[in-house]
Amino acid sequence: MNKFKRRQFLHYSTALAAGSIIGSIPSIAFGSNFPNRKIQAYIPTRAGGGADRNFRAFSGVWSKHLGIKFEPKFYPGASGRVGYETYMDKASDDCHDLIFGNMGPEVLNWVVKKPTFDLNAYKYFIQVDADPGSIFISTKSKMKTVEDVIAEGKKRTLTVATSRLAHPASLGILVLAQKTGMKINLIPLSGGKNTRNGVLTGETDLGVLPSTTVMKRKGLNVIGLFDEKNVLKNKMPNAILVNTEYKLGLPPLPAGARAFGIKTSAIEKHPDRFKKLISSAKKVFSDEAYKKAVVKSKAPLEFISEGYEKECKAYVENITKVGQEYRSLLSG
Amino acid sequence: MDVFMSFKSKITRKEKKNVLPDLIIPSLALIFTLYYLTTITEAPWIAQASAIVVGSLLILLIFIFFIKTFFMVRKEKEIISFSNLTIDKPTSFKRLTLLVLTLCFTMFLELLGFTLSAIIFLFFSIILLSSIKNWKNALMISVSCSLIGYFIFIYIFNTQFPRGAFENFVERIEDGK
Amino acid sequence: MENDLGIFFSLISNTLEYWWVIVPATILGIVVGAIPGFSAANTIIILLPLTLSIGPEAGMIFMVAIYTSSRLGAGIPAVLVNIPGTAGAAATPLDGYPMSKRGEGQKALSISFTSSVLGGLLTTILALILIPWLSQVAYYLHSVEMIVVMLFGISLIATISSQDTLKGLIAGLFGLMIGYIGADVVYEIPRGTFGFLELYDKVPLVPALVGLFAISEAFVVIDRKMVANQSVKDSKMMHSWKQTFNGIKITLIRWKHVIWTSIIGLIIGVIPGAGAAIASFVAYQQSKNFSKTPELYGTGHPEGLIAPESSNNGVTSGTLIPLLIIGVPGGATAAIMAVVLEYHGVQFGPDIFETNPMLGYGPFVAMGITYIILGFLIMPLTRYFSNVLLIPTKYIAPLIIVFTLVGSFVPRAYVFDIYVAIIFGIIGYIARKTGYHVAAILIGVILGPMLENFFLRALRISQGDLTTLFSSSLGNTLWILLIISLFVPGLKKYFSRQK
Repeated sequence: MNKFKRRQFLHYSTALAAGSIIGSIPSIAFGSNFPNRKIQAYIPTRAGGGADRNFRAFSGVWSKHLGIKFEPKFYPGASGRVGYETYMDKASDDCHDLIFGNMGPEVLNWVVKKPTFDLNAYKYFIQVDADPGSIFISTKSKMKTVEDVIAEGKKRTLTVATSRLAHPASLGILVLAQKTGMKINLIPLSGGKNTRNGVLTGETDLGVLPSTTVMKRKGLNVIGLFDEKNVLKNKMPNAILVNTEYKLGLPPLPAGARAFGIKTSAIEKHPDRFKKLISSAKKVFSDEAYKKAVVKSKAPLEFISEGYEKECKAYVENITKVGQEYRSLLSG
Repeated sequence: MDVFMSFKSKITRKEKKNVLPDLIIPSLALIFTLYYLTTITEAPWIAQASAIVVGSLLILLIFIFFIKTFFMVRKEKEIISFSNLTIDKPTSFKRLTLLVLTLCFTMFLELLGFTLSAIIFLFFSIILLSSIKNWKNALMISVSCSLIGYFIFIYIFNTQFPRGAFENFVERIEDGK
Repeated sequence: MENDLGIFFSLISNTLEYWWVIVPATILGIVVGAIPGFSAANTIIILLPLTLSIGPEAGMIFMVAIYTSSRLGAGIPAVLVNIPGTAGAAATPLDGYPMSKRGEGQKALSISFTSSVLGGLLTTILALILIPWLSQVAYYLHSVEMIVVMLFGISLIATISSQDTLKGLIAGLFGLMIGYIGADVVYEIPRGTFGFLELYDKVPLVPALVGLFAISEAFVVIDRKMVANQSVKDSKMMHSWKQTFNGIKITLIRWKHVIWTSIIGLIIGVIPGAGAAIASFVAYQQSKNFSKTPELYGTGHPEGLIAPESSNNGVTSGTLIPLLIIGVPGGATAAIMAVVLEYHGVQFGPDIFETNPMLGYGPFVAMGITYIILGFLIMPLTRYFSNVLLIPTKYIAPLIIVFTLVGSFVPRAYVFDIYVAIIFGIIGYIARKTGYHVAAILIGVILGPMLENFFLRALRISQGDLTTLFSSSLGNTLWILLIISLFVPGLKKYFSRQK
């Protein structure tokens, strides 16, 4: 029975009181022993999804090295916008409040439509995975390869299921279509499950998603990856490397690139705490328990991707650049 | 099936019903739908379509309902009346006061936490629904039920209930152990 | 097939691990079912904070066990004092009460329970066998068909369970419009949110549920002194094991009767809007029509008790089928389950049976296990139910308000959501008082976002062409059925006048 700590309570009331009286109580710092309350992770997608599983695997081990529990709070809606707006608005900057998101789709979001907050007010600092975007078809489909798809797409407009428009996987197929001259109509279906079902039911011709959620699924066949290498040849034997095969000129942009982010004001105020977060996170990647947790979450070990401020920054810059180039196509 | 029908009509059949209250829900629905439609004027057609289809269907049904009511009133099968909108004055007063108490409970919930605000709300509303003479019972039930609620929901299952002075006090005693 | 059996047995052992949920929930269900006017739905809503905190599997099992056992509990006051504990037991007193007036209360209860347990168990197993086949249907439903299916569901609820079709439709469509609040999934434009960021991600369902069902109910019941409106009649209950065994024997002899009336329940349960009350009356009527001794019905005839009880327990598993396969809840209790599972991030659809068999098949397995436990538990337990419990509303109404309102706070910890619940409470109160169906509104709110997603998808594929709604032959057939179903109540009225 894990009891809530006093700060926890204060946090609840301060962070979430919509118009409440004590909403204005400032957060009080309790000395330097960091962390002194649960780490709250704002997750801008729904509970039970990929981000949730990913978060649980990482934070479960991280809490051991940090000596405190993590608590996820889910804020789905408007493709993550609600989660980020809430985080920027309500979270405290004492390094106890983090955001855990998927850098790709979320940064693309800002490219399509700017958020109300300053984009430099937060930064990603611990990347945990890199899951390449994939092109997949139903095993019942007449088309069997990317080549078939392109040939068919030159004859008629193909419908392509995707989780959302502003998504690295959507970006990949849009670039492919532009380079090869095939015609596609992107159908955003909101979430991996709906996207898979869209292809399974035959309602759409093909689909694009991060590969993890597709490769294990019966009835689906991964035919292409938007990456420069296929680290899981045994699970996706039919997947070709689209980026290099069709010379798309894209940097490797994993469609699933989940990472922890934090308010920049928190880093400035508490550089020591920020350092502690990073040093303890580093221990997670070398911990066998983390690998076990990842296997348990049914994600492939090959997609674990250790990255920090530098790697995250590079990813964000890359995806922003490509996103801006194809901005008009991403906004539907 | 006829058994079922007679069972149903037994509850509903009334003489010369005042239909004004029946118009509240359609009116609310109409106002909300019109408001909703004003918020989608900027959206692309694809995002408007479902709201326009369902919304106009709803508006159509509401108008049919209004016209039907109008004819029923003209045929004097039903009446529209403001006077007997509230059938039973004492209960209406109780209901409104209970609503006010509910709103107060919500407003003070974050400040006082679950247990204290529940005790206060239960005490006053039980007295409201019975009488001041019943204060001993009211006190007993409000305190015991709130504490049982605290124990099950907060203490054992640690659910996300609003916490206040009482919850923190118990926690501090525990931590002090 | 061997593999299937392996999955089946692992499901049973998985479910049995939740005995700590099933056993207390079963007892609780019997008790609340036996309290007239206090529904299983209300119990589940009051305990919502628990259901939300114990995880989706345990939560689902908990709800299923309460739901199932309250069905049996509701038979107790129906038989003993002529007050059905819930609407589903409304046909039970027709032959149950005359029996207990004759001093055969124990026998009547025994018949009622035996037929409930047998009927329930049978239909649960039937549902388990059928589901893998039925779920394949969902793969043939594209967005166009799903749009029609959902509108069909709403209109069935309006025509079947409301007294006034027009009011029912207005309630259902109003619910859909409320469900449209929020940012759309493609363009992320906030619509109908009154400017609240809290509403960007749709109307929160738990507060909507709490408001429409519980808060409004609390404001309605204070009109009366007691939760049940009838005066309690004396029960002449005699405790006799002989009567109990006699009742079991009587039911077992009529096993054919149990089978076909429970299948009526299963089929009616699948139809959205047609719940236990309708099933038990239909089964009663059919059983009377086909009986060799129809004149005995109403005088305490065992068959007149078996029919409603086995059919209303058949409904229990039927009502879960459309929810799990296509995500359309057919009635109030299924709607509550939908809300809880939605909170846990469970998405319905045919592949729930593959990706998460514990949530797909689990409810049926839990239901079966609950019936077996009930079979052993309820006979001895009912020997103590000679008095019927009535709770004064002056206590129950404030308690419902406190615990359900806080329950609406739990999922997101927004005080905002409590105000949402109060607003839905006011809407629900007016709706109840003026004959609009609150379950129709709630199901509309649940289906709204789904309907809109299917609309967006269909239109995006057809590139904005609305005629796509009539482009599939399966869809068109459903449209025609929908329109016919709307006219059925009117036609029925016309023909009954002709007679």
